[in-house]
Amino acid sequence: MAEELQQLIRAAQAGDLASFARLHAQFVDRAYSVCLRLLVDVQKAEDACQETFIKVWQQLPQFRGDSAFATWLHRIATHTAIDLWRKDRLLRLVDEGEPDNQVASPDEGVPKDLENAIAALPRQARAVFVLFAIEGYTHAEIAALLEIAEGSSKAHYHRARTLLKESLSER
Amino acid sequence: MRDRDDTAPHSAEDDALDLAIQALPRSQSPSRDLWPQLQAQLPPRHARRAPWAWAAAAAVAALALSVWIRPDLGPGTISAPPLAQLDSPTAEHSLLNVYESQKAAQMGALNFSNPSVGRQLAIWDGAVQQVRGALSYYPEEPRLLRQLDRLYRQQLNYLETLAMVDPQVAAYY
Repeated sequence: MAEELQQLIRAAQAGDLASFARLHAQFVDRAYSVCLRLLVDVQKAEDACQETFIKVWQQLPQFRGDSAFATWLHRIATHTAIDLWRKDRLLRLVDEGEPDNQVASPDEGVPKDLENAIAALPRQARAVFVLFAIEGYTHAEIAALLEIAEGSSKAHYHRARTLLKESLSER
Repeated sequence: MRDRDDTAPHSAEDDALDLAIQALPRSQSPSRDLWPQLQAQLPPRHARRAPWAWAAAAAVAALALSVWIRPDLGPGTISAPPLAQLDSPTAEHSLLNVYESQKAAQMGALNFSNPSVGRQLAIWDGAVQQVRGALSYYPEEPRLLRQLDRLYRQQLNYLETLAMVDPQVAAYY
């Protein structure tokens, strides 16, 4: 399995599109997931996902395997989604406390209550919660990614947990 | 997946939330296949194209666009090969496969008597043929592929709009 992945990576690095298509098929769901949870909009998440794989294609020749390919790709997806998230915030001039209107509809079988509650969180609290609780980033890393203070990241996270607990207990 | 800070207070609600977080799926699938569109957007990895080649490609794209904007100019001199003759899975072929099937499905669900609908679609079809003709000279040219992608999206959006409105209203489109 790992050897097969290495072969695909090497072939894609050399410009083999068919191998890159297989890498895309293998990792697109994971990349799309973080984009969707951060952006809460199917179209924007798809755009971010496409941009992610264009960057991966462009940067692949420089990938030396210092980290796992999945980790490397996931970092690119996270950064790309956050860039869009930040641009979106600037464009819409939305009040930080206002939740997004368009809530994604997760697939059948997933815990919809929690997915919907996360999607309905205020933007910054949602971003911090997704990155910390689901994606495993530290508050220091989140602070750097979102350009906020580390203390703010912790405060947003605790606010998100409080709101989620309230939301889930109401259902 | 991490549930909370070590310093966070512990309660039954916290436990319930942590369990719910652990049950979240690590990945979710997009609602459609993103590969065909992505493939069309990937920049070529081979050696850089000479500047004159980019200029020629741009000229061909501009010609295709001008014919699209001015349908009264009639059929152009560039012709595209029929879909059946495409024997390799190029980006163009992938786009055609995806969009033509979507278009056929949408067309099948509609029943229009107004000839203006057919004329409008024919304009788009003519533009698609022009771009495909240009692609026969520059098969992986990203701008041409993007143009092809846009043309199909416009057609599909148009059909989708028609499908949503009342049939009597659609007769005026």
